[in-house]
Amino acid sequence: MEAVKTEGLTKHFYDPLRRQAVVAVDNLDLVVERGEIFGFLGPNGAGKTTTIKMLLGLIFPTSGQAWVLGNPIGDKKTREKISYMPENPYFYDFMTGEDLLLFYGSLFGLKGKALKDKVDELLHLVGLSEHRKKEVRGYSRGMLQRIGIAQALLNDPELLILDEPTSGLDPIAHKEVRELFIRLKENGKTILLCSHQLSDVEMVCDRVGIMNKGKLVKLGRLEELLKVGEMEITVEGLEPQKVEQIEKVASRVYKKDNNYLLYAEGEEKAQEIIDFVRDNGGRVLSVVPLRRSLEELFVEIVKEAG
Amino acid sequence: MSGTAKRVILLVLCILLIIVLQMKIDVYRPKYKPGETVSLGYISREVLATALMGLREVAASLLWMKIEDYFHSGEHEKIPPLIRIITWLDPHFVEAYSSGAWQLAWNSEDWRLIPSAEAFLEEGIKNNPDKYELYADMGWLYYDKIKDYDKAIEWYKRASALKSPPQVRRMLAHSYERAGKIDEAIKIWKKLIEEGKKEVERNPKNFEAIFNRDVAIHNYNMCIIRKIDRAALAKRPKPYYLSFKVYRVSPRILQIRAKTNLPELSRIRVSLVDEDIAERKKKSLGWQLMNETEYIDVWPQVRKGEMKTDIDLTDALKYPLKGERFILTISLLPQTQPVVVQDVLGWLGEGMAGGDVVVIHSSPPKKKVEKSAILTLNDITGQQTALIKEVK
Amino acid sequence: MSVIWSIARGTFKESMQKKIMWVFFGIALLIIGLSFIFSYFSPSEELTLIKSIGLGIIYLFGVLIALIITAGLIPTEIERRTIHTVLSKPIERWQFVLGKFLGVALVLFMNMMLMAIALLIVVMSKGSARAEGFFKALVTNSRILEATLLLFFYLLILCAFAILFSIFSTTNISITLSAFVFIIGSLSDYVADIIKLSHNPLTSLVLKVLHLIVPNFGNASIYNSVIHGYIPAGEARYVLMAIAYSLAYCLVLMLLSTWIFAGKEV
Repeated sequence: MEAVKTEGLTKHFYDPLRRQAVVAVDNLDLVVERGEIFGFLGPNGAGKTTTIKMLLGLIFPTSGQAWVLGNPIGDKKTREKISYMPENPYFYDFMTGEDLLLFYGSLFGLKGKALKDKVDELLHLVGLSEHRKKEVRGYSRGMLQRIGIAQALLNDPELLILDEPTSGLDPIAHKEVRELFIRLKENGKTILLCSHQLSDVEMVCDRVGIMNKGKLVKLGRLEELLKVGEMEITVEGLEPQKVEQIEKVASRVYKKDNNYLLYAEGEEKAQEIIDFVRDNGGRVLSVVPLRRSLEELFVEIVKEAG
Repeated sequence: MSGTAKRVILLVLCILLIIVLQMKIDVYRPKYKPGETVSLGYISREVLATALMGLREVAASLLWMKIEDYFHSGEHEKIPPLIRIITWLDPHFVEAYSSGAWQLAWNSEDWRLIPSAEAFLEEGIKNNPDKYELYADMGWLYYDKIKDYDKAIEWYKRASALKSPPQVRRMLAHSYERAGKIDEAIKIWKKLIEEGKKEVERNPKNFEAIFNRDVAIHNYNMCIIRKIDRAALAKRPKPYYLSFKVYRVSPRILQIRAKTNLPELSRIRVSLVDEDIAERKKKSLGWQLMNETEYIDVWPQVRKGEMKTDIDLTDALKYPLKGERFILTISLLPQTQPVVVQDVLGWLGEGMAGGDVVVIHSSPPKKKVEKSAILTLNDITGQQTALIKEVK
Repeated sequence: MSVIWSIARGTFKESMQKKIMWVFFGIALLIIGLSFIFSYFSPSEELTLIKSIGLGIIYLFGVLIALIITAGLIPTEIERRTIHTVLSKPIERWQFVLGKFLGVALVLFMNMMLMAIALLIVVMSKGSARAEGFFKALVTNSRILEATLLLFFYLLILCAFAILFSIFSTTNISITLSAFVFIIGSLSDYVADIIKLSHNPLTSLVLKVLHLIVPNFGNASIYNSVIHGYIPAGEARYVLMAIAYSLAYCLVLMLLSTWIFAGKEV
């Protein structure tokens, strides 16, 4: 059973001012597998939040279908096993941190000692135990994010839908959150992660889906998407004439101090270069398969769309 | 059964429940509403609320419906206070002022309320200076009730200066006639004939236009005829006599019997006032005084040379009779007489001279017949039936 | 249901934070307390005046609090997006609406009863009220509490309207619409009398239908009997019917509200 599955999910918004329909989500076919951390990316206005809202039953699709944890969207039973953390913390700021968690916990059906213990545990986990009696309106940005994460863990969810969970956190907190995600994954949980923090995504996500203008334009495993296919070979001790010879095979050649950097497309060509260097008295210092950064991929995709 | 169907049924059941409950509640509601009292009773919270919310006119209209109720039920004495509130809420409610004044001066049959009616109309005029209705009402008050035709002329003039229908000017003309200023009246009739003819030319089928024209013509003709006739009267004036006897039928009930050669259907005025009324009027005025000093003002008719009228003063509240001596006056003023009598006596008494006829020096001069007698308190309140006074 | 109760408690706390409510409450208490000025009048007149004005104040401020607190509840949640976190939890949408309604009912109840108790204390403090003995006076004057309780149930109808309107419009529009409903509903009591005066059967029919359908806020006004101290026969029955009416009306409005809210996109 997939964690999330959509078929042809579409959402049109009617803009009364311009009298036309705005297509926010266009025929989305998406699958998020159980136990994976899925990165959901895209520029602002791409349709990510709209999709998430549909999955949560906050808005209703114009056409198409979707299932969460095997049940159709909008089903209350499903929401017992999932949790949501919104982008920009939107919480009742007149409540204290502790009260807020107790409140949300009660909506999950938790009560009594079980609820209190869970709240204590989570406050400790996100490092807010000292501030539990403070009103949420007095929380810093980072504290708000942390309480947001805490409330998303109240019901021990199978699937967490998180929108920008790390924005506003300091580097140590970033690391802690990443480690939390990995721990959750190890426990068999699924995470649908929306984030502009591409470094975080690169570090934790298994698969990534990139949306732009309502369409899913790229989907796949992270290494696959980021693989460039080029190998970078650092070489030492090769005479310049020999370098010229090998230039035909390499796609690019750079001189760096006393060494040469040779770029080969594909493993075969790389092998050819390595053999040549060895045969000609040079030494191969390192062979590194090149990757794009996620950022580069992102920018490229958005540019493509125009 | 689907969820929606269940909900619809529940909704319908609730609505039915609401309706049924409300009908039952309505049975009890009157017990909680203030009763029919003449004070703040009918200013229910809602009316006051609409009034306070600036919908005073709406509140006034709602209360006006109550007035109609009172007219139908005959509880006329409750009308003036309510009208007072209505005009307070909506000072532009001309009809309320008009009705209220009529109620006070005519329908109450209590002539002591006439100054109140006057004051009320004055207030109405102050609040609605550009509407002819209340000026005309004032004119009518002076013409019909108070019978001061000069004043009536004043008010009808003001009414006709505003946008007003032809009947206002007709009343102005009649006021001139009764004041003895015939030529003025004839001028107006002529003008009305002119206008009437023009109007009929424009709308030959319009009934109202035809009516206005014809009435003006008729009145004009009558004026001319009467002017000639009554001028002739002045050449051969006759003497008129009036004598009367006052009987006490029982304590506080008097009967006046008069013998006179005044024409049939003449209206004789009978009034009973405190002796010192002239003095007291000089010192203070207002209708408080009137209540205490002027008791009777009735206008019985002469039939076959005789006039008989009963005066019932038994209501001690209405007739306090605080003084010791009272003046009973029997008089006749030609101005106030019906047309048939004026044909014999003239507008201002031109056909009267000698006998008991008295001349009033005014411009133009008027004649009248008047006799009076002094009655004492004992005369009025004495026990046996007796002839108290005889004036020849 | 604990979900509804949780939301109600949250709403209660939220409303208690609203400064404007405390301002209203404070002014109301002040005016009730200031009624000591009326010692200029004769004792019985003074008592009537205190009761009239006191009950009028409770009425006025009850309406204000009901309108202003309720109308903003749902629009604020939508504006501030706090509603997303709540509705993404495993709760039914109708639980949310009912929770809000219950919360505001608690706020209103507390406010009104406190004002009524304050009025009762002021009245009881006047010697003239205690003329017939303390306990007898307490029993008689506790009708102030009865009248306020009845009014509370009818203001619940107003709150329900405010919630209904606020689901598909802004705070200010729902205040305006609710105020409008309140005015019409208050006049309906008077319409019952006008029906008798009307001579046109068609007008009578139309007015009668309107009178039965429109929420009759006038049902709650038993003030005249409280101020002048008379108890009409069958009062218990009347009050029960009146309360039943208001609850039935609230139920209708809640059904409509939850219906509409179920289809509302947030």
